Amino acid sequence: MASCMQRWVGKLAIVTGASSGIGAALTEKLVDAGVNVAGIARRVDRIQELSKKLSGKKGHLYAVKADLSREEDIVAAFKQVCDKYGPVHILVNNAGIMPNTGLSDGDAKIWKQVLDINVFGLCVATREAVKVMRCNKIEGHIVHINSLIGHLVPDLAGLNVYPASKFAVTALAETLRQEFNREEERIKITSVSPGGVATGLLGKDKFNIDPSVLNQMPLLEPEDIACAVMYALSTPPRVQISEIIIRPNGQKA
Amino acid sequence: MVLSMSRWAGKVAVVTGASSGIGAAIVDQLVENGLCVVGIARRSEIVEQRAKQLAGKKGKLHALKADVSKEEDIVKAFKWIEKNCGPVHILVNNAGTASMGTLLETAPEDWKKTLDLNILSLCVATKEAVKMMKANKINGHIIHINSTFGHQITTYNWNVYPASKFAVTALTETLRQELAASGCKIRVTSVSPGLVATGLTTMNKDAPAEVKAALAKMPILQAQDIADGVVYALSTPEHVQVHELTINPI
Repeated sequence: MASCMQRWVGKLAIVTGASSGIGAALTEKLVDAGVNVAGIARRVDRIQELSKKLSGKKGHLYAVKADLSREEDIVAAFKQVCDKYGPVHILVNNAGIMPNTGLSDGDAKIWKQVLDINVFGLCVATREAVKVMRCNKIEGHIVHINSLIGHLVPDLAGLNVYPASKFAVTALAETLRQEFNREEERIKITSVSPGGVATGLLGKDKFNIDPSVLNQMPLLEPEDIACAVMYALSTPPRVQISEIIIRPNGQKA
Repeated sequence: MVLSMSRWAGKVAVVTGASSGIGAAIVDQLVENGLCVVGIARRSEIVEQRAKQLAGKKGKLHALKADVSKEEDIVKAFKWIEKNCGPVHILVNNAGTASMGTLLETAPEDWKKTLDLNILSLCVATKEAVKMMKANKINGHIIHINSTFGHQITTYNWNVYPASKFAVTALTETLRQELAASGCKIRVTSVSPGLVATGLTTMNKDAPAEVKAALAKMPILQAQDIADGVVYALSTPEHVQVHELTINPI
């Protein structure tokens, strides 16, 4: 198999929303493989805890605090990270929210938050990463953690603009791929779209699915998504995995 | 939970269109990973040759002559496989065809060939495989080699080929729902490549000069890149279903 993480060893990856769930699982795998990771999140204390847990591994984990819904925060975070730790080679746009409110009767403040983090913040972070990659002639890799709900709208109450935000990510991945293709630019873009994953996103204080319903749902592990990203990252330079739609086996919806 | 091919070691995998291109690359990878592979092709002598070259690898390759555009051939093939190798664990629906030319230029006979092989044969082979897996309580895996043309049409020069692949995209989801509804753990994956260097494209001796010249300028994948993708999908733990894997050249 031609798969290899060697080209990323000692290089810098930025992972947004690295404090828990898929972001944390992926950060662990990257650091284990010798990639240095700057984890960006609001809850830096959690990233710092993870960093302690990962001490002694081949790569290093740095924690950076930023509000990923604000352009100024994102621009400043990228500047801080690249000044201190070197140019970014991999960006994983993993930060995302899925709060519960209606669409026909919902809280517009929540709608705005969803669009600001899931779409706008992703676009700004991507732009900042690409700027650095172009400046340093880096053949980098951008990964959007998308969702199954970026490809179909399930029959689930309370989703409000979340499906729209993820359909946007699907479109953004292809728009970016075409942009790079036009410029003959060798930066890869991958969208990874999971079905239900066992993280905090679906539970109490977040989307708030009824626990009895949640217990019956087949779910993926955060590690399964991390493995998918690692596979995409480890492909030869001529190959880009454009989309991985990954579901819990036996999911009825 | 890590990615691993170990649970497939010694199990039977069927690959259609095994004599060249993506099929041949998949055969190679599966044999490397210790599977007992049945390579179905019309040109089975080429697969026989390959089997000799792969002697000494962890797995084995059996060549089976069949024309999967004929329903009876498919049914006979699966019967032979169960009798001589054992029940099927993995089916890779790779055999496929395309004829160049616009809808206006091409003939209904060309369309029929494409639709029959790319859609109908895929369905027949899948049905035989799933029947066998269920009868033997095998939590197997069906892989459809689809195409980026099964999701987006970027050129109008391939007449019904994109339609045939849109059908594969729909069949992947239809089968997934069917299996889930019966509580079945068999998994299905659609692998959708962009341009790959095979006999259908850059190695097509019958292609006109302008086509060859145009293809030569384009970023292109190698068959093994698709085989690597198939192995990734197969190597996920049983609770994971890679539903779609889209692979593009850069």
